[in-house]
Amino acid sequence: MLTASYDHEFEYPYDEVGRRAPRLTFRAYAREDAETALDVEAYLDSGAEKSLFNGEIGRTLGIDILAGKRITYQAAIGGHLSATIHPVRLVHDDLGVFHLDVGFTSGEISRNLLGRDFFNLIQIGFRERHLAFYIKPVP
Amino acid sequence: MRALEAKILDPTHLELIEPITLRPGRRVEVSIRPDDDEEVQAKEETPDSSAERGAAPGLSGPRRHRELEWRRSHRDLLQTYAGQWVVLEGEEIVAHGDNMVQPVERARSQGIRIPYVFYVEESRPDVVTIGL
Repeated sequence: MLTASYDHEFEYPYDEVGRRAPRLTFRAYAREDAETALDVEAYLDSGAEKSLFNGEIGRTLGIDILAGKRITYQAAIGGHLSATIHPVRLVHDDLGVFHLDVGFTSGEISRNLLGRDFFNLIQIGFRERHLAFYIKPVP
Repeated sequence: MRALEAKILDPTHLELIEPITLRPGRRVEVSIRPDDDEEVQAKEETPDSSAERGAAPGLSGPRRHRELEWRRSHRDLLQTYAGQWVVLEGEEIVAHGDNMVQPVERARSQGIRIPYVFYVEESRPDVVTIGL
């Protein structure tokens, strides 16, 4: 039998329509020496290969989202959107600091997603029945 | 968190011994020591207290427990902002708009150094969300 141990337990937080889903709130910075920050939340999405944020977050952090490497995010149900990749520093009070290359959309999206690039930095488990998820902040 | 001294003026009013820089209208939590000391200590309640506990700059993240609890308990009110981006500080919506940039700028102009911003999704019972 395989067992796993985690350091932190999180309840699925509510949203304003009464749903609960796994998401985390981070303090986002554009780079290591940046002082401008924004507190944002992102949903944990194992279906996303790479993390994706609303481009306006990038703008408010001083990122030029029209510049940088451009990639296409393709949805499994069809449809796609374009984003540029930029490094960000995400700080969580319990989990610590994470450096990710995140896609910032040029179009509007309502949810920021943390994908398997983020999962690559941690160990994570979900108990959907208990509306809880667990994290150890090491790969 | 820091302790402040105040003088009781009447059952519902305190006068701080020294001025503070908090914005008028901001709520603070007041606690009374359980001993016989008549002084009342006012605790400055900030939604981002984790970042002001002396942690190294840029190394502490937001807890936002107060904001998350407020979101949970004020769903009906928040639905009036459905489809908008909202900046919430403590239990107060300080700015909102159709895009994120303007509410964030308004919040910063009000002295909120690190705004907490989120999108208010519309309540649609027959809709299931996949990722985005």
